[in-house]
Amino acid sequence: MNHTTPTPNPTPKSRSKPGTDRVGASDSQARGFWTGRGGLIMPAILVAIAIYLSVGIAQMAVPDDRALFGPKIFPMITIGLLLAVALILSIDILRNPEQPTRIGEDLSSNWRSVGIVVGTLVLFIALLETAGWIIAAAVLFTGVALGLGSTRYGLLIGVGFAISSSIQLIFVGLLGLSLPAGVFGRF
Amino acid sequence: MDQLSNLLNGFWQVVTPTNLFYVLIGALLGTAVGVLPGLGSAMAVALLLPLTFSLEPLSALIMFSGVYFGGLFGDSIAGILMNTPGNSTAIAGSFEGHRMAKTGRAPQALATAAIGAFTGGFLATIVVVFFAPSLAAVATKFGPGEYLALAVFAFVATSAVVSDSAIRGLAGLAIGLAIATIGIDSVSGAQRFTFGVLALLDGVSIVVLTVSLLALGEVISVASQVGRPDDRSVIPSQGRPFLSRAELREALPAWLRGTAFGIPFGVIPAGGAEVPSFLAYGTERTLDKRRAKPMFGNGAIRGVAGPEAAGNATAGTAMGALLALGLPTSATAAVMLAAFQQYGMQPGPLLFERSGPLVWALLASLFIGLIVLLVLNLPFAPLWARLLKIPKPYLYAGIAVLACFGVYAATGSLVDQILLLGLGLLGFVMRRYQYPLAPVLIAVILGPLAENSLRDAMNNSGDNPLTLISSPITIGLYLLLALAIAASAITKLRARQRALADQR
Repeated sequence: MNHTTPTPNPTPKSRSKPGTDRVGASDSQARGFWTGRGGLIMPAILVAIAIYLSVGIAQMAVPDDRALFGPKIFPMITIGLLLAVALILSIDILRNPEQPTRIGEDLSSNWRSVGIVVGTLVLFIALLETAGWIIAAAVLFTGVALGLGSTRYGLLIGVGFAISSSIQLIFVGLLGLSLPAGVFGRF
Repeated sequence: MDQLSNLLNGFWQVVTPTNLFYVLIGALLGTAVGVLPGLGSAMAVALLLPLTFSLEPLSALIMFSGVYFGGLFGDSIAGILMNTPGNSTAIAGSFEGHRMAKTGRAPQALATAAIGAFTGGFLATIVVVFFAPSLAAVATKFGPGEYLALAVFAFVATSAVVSDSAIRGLAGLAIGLAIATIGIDSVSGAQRFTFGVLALLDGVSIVVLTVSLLALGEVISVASQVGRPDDRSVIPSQGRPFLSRAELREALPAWLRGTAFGIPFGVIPAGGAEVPSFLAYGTERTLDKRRAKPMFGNGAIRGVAGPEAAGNATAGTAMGALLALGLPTSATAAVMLAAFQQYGMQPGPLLFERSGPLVWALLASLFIGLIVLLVLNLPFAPLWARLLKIPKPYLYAGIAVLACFGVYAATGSLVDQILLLGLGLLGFVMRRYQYPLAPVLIAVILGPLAENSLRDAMNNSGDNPLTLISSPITIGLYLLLALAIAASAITKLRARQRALADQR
């Protein structure tokens, strides 16, 4: 993931610039094209949404399609807005790549932690209706806390089960909401 | 004096031990969620919505009035003690508030904020009691053209005028409008963008959207910053939590001025209290400079009093606009709207006729919520700060569990859990690259209103676009919007020129 890793140590050239604490644009050659341009993911998301809407409009079955201002017009306006904003954003990001505003500031993301958190959420979704709320939520708590840098496995699992079971007790037992019982439902 | 007798009836309904208990619980929980770093009042309402599902509508609404103001106050506690305001509306108050805390006057800063929030909210709610019914009466004459103008005003104001970068705000707006069109089209009955997924027929629930963008997005965002130096620290709040007479006299004019700034802005769909709270802050600072001994920069009590009162006054009248027009003017109000609809209350011009008793009970409980908060927070505000000391992994793991639980309890569908994750990732990307989230929420909330008004207006007039600007109200709104855009463009250009000049 090198495109989100800016140079950790600024070049001497930028440090010597008087009267400003910004990293100069002159050191951008030293970095890859994607450095500071990871923000292009946003225009990409906007274009993806526009494509989703376009496919949806093409497939839409409208009972009475005579009116000009039917169910398709507003999504069409939205597509126009999405594409226009994506275009302007892309030009802006290509021209002015993101730079640390202070020397030495680290803009990179900790992808390991993000991966653990997102993976835990996927696991939670898989477990929720198979293993049940109590297990799934305890896994969720433990996984997210591990992702955020805690290492006290035993304590985390204990706290996780305490939280998930107390939610189950209060909301299902006392207030009558329904949560998936999962494996506990088979007894 | 119809309003007074109605309000008294409202109090009569509300003041029972059970209901007072719900206000108290709501205020406690709302403040607790508001205090948590990164979570604000909108989140408080969204996360606590499922809590109220097993309650009677009246009790649930009463609890929400506590949550609503409690969440706002929680935002300020985090701002004053940690310099991390939970909501953009609490930023202005935390400048001087955090300085007061640093110089050992944290309890007084919190007390100033609490009394300011009370003053602003109380006066604004009085205004709502007297004017909301007349506002609703005016609004019954609104046609599709007027509603479209209001929605467009809200869209442009939140995305382009209030946010730092107009294009980033518009990106959020476009995403929100796209999400808003998913589901069955209410006019033609056509299925739109569901691709056969049954859970999408009703569209994306506002609870799923808020919880994912605000809470889960924050959790992932915190994860992405693990290992970075963390300079956030909590300043302990010790000492007398009450204000001396001199301090009261000092703060009183600022509370009143702040309230005066806040009240009109609640009705304007411009995304909440950012503008009035900063206006109040700026005014207090200008007035301070003229005094013999300027206090700003060293923790000025007026710098806390003004913005806090303005923020809550806006929240108060925003409730009025929500009830009378059905128009949410801030993200928090937008989630409140979803909550009301869950209980079969449809805010709008006809609300006062259709569900009169319920509305007056709600207004009465707003007053009670404010009083409960004042009683609760004046002596106990420092206790809330303890929540900020929970280690990050536990705090955010707990928030993630609550977020998933909240969404499952609200919708009971696994598809919504997948949506929660997807939109949570979107929220993370938007945070990472500094896109404002409020325009997404406003677009999803008002998107259907804008779309249906546009289609009604055009279909009724034989596709004549001039019908959209055919009444004084619509022309006035569009003119006001043009003025706001021009004013914000000029200030932004000036700020840019100044920044360029500074660099040279």
